[in-house]
Amino acid sequence: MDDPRDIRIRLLRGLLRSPLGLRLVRALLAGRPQKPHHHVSADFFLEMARGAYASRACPVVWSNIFVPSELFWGLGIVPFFPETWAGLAASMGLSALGVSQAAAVGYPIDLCTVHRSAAGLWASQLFPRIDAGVATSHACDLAGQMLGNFAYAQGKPFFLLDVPQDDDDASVDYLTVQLERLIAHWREVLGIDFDPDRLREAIRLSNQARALALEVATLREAEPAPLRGSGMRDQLAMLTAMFGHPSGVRYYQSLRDYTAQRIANGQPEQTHQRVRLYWMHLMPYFESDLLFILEDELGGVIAWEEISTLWWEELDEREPLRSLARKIASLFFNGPIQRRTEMALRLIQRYHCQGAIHFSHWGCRQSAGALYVLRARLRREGVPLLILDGDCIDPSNLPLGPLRTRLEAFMEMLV
Amino acid sequence: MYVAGIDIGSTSGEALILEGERIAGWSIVDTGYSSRRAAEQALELALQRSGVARDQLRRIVATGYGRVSVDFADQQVTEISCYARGAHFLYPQVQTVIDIGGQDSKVVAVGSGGKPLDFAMNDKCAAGTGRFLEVIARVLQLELAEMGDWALRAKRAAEISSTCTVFAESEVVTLVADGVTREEIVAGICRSIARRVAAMAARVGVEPPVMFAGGVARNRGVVHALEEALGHPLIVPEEPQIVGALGAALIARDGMDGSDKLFGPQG
Ligand code: SF4
Repeated sequence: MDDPRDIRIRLLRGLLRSPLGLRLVRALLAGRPQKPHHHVSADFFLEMARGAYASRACPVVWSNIFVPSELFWGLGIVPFFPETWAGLAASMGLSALGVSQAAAVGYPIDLCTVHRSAAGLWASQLFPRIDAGVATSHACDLAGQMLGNFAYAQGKPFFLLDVPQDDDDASVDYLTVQLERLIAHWREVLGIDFDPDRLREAIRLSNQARALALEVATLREAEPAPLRGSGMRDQLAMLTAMFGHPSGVRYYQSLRDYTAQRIANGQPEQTHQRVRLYWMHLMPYFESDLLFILEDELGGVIAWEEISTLWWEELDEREPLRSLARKIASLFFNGPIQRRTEMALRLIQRYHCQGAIHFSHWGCRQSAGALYVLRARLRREGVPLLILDGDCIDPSNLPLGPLRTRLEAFMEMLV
Repeated sequence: MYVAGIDIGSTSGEALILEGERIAGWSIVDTGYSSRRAAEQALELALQRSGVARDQLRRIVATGYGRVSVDFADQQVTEISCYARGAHFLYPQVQTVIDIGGQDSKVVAVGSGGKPLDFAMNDKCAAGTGRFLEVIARVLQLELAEMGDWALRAKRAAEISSTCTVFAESEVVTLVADGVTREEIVAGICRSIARRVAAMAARVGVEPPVMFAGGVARNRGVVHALEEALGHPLIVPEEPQIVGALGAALIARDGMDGSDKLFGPQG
């Protein structure tokens, strides 16, 4: 008998590859009760999907999430981020498919499920065409390997941006040269024209979105917290895909207005608020009771999430590539762990958090590898840290019973 | 004025009746398939032994992994808080509590008033828990209760490299076939558990005095191995299994005034 998932997969494949199908999805989504900024993000991702799956107008480059999106939008390239799409698939209940198919194509189970699921979705032909691949070497070393694999397996060129650990001038110079080479490489292999004005426009849009995102960050200092932290689990996707695109400006404008309105009306999204927390690393992308237990049952307020942190300085449109090089190198996951721990302490103070939770996603070395230093540093400042071992992609690897006990005990400790 | 604490673990359930500072009685039962039934049984038995009627109980607090099933309790509190509270009551100087139960183990740093300052629990497997001992006892055809004495008789401990219970089981079968004595194997198993728990304890930071609670604390082989692994002597209470229920009862007593304070005054 056929796997019942097969029908869903075939349907999904069909929907993704037909402009009509995507329009249908868009119409369906528009009719659903959603927050205003979610309409903007849904439209944005559907437009991206159309560009990648159903249209041949622009080249499609597969990329890890830390290659600046301004580069793609400024060069007329449609980016496709397998990590983001793995998260999206998880939110649609498709992680089991991705993870099981990855095993079938030979990926060992101790690899991060974000990449394993992406590999499985690709093996199930749920990813679009690829014209080239690109990745940065920093933050997640698996990303470079996986993107390289995807490109190699499909006979397409791949470019790795080697990111130094510092964001000083020498490092930025080094990275700027590589970005120049990357553009030359894309001109050659993709046949694109390089229009500096278009790139400058992307930089301007990025700065506008950045200013609005910073306003959201300031609004979120309010007590009670206006937004639910669990509702912000998609922020990494926004921060790494929308900047440089007009949707980025619309999205953050809408989120800013929504947040301000919640504060003005005295209507926080989460009514039961007892303890303010700083959440580190990812959150489950799929529907799970974990965050419901924390927020609604126990009154834990995720006042700020590490992944919502806008880490880069304003970009300079007179030196777009240099600015983007600095943006890449200054990522808090890059370089010595102190960068991440000091940022955590600043944000814990800024958002008046009484404790921190680190969600250690299965297989992610770059994040969990630093826990010893992180715990010791936070302890020195008197900030309790709870480490939750789980999985943001695979629901079968998120044991709710033991996690509930840890959450409850942590809250008992803090209240 | 009586209160009760009920601790439902994966293997056993305990109930304790408290009157002020006095422990009126307690009981230990097997958890079996139903946490709720175990809680009822443990409570009835403890009441019987204390000579207290059910309607004399003013408040009940449930803890342990089965706490959510104890729907007749007035409050549910995690075993982390209850162990810290119970240990502090028995030995106010205690700074660290290690509990090794049937299927989980935990380490709690205890602050003033019996408030937990930090904690660690074993991950999703049975290594470093009582279950590990049970499985090996079965393979070696030994009674669980006598394993500690077997371990202490060993001249040296066999090296058990697997932390996984399933793999350790087959490793033990191989050791038996190789002629390694049962004493040495049991000592090796105790050491394996102790190392695993000591590594977990290091995450929290072990500050003496250290109390060892939970069913496995009755096993003198593990006590000895854990003392060696930690480099600290361990305080083993007379009844190591009832520390959680005691903590729950203390929280029940303090909650009578309607406050939801879990811990004593913080100094
Ligand atoms: S979770 Fe960690 S390993 Fe996985 S994609 Fe993200 S950074 Fe890479």
